[in-house]
Amino acid sequence: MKRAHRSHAERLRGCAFVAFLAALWSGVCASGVVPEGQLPSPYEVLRAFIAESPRLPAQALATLNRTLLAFLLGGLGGLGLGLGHGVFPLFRKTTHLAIEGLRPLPSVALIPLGILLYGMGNQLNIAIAAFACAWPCFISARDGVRGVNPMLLDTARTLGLGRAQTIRRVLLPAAFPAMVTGLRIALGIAFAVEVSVELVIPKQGLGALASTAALAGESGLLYAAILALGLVGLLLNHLLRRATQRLLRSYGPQWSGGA
Amino acid sequence: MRRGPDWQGLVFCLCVALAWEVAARQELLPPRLFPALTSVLAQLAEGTASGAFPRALAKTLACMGAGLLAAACMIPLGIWAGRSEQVWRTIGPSVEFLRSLPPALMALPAMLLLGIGDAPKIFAVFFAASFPILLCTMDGVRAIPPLFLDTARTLQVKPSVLLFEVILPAAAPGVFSGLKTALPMAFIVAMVSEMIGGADGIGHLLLRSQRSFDIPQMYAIILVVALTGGGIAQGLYLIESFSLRWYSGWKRVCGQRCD
Repeated sequence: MKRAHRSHAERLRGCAFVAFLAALWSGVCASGVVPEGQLPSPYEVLRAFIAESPRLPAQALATLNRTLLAFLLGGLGGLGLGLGHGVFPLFRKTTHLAIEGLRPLPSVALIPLGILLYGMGNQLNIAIAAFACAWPCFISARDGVRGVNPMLLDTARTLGLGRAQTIRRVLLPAAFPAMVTGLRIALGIAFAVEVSVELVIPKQGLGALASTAALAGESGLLYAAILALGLVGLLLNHLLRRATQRLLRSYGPQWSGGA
Repeated sequence: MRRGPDWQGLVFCLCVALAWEVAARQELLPPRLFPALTSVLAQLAEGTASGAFPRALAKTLACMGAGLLAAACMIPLGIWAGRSEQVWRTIGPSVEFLRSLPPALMALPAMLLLGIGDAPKIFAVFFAASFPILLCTMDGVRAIPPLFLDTARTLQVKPSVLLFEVILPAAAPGVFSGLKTALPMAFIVAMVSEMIGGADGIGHLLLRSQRSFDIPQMYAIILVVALTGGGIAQGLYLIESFSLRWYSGWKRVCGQRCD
């Protein structure tokens, strides 16, 4: 909120710190504390990044593709389940315990099961990332519906709105900001889990590239892949922040202004 | 909020368990992939009794201890960055970049640098746990009601009193929300790094049981992991509600939304 306006001088300070860290890193490499080939200097990383740049976009696209598909599936599933829990008390009472048992299960623990069910293809990555990113959507949709101001519901009843109308005109709009926030968290999780799966099962994508590079001892390629992943992550984060601001503009600064 | 046992939920869980058992016994599902629930439970009992599961789990949880180390480093830094806009402007861009990296990824450069063993795991866990704790602590410090700080200034308390008796308790809700994100994540990252290059721990055991097609054991370990994840979340919740007793009361008094 307070970080909205940044002068050049302030940006410069942040960049100076990045430069300081890079210098520190180069110093460590140059001093020879670390054996040759284990830690490339920032210069070597940059060179590797440029050398590998024809190869990186395709891998990044593979990672992004699966992340977005998983986000779509998991997000919709989570929101649907959460709305169901918020709107239908009987549904909530019945499945509540089962879901609370499933929710803390770390998604990566499902990788072996996923291999058995889906083999080592795209489906595996998508299924596991979707499972992981469904939960924040579930929670935000459920709590968003439950946290609706009772006065709104009373008003809807007074005005004679039916059940379907109340859900469509009152509950959904009122829970919308919470749902968008849940989706924002979910995309970050989908990305992190997608890359984790790629690390464990290096078939395709930037994570796989990093994993194979690390096992082969190609440190330049490894750091280039890490750099690319960081950039993709930043990009996702930035786009999401813009989208959130746009979607929630009509809900006022407390929802749309958050950093 | 709920009182008494959750009958409907329990009945639903039992029905699912029964359906699984019957389907597996009748071989409605591929028997290799879906062993009977009873054989999974038998495997769980056996693995626990023989000490194989507890040993592996203890190993993983010990690496998760690096998450506490991260807390010890990042809570002070978060307080500092929350108090001083200058500090955040300096480290902000670097933190934003590092934070957008999928945390499990950091196990790879650590593996290259430190060799295979516990060190990369600990590094990855530390890295993963750091950012949620740092950012949430910072937000917690920024959200301290000005009334608290003004009162302290009026009373001219010493800096140490200001830190330990005003800022730290008042920022505790933020710190806890950071821990609640960070520690489950630490568990996941510990498991991922065991899956990538580990030789022990519950993640390694899980992947090995899938690779040797010991499917009941795989399901048993998934159960163990789910229970552990649930235990971590529940434990944190209990610690939080115990140490933040004042907070819920204060929130009620102020009638203010502080989540």
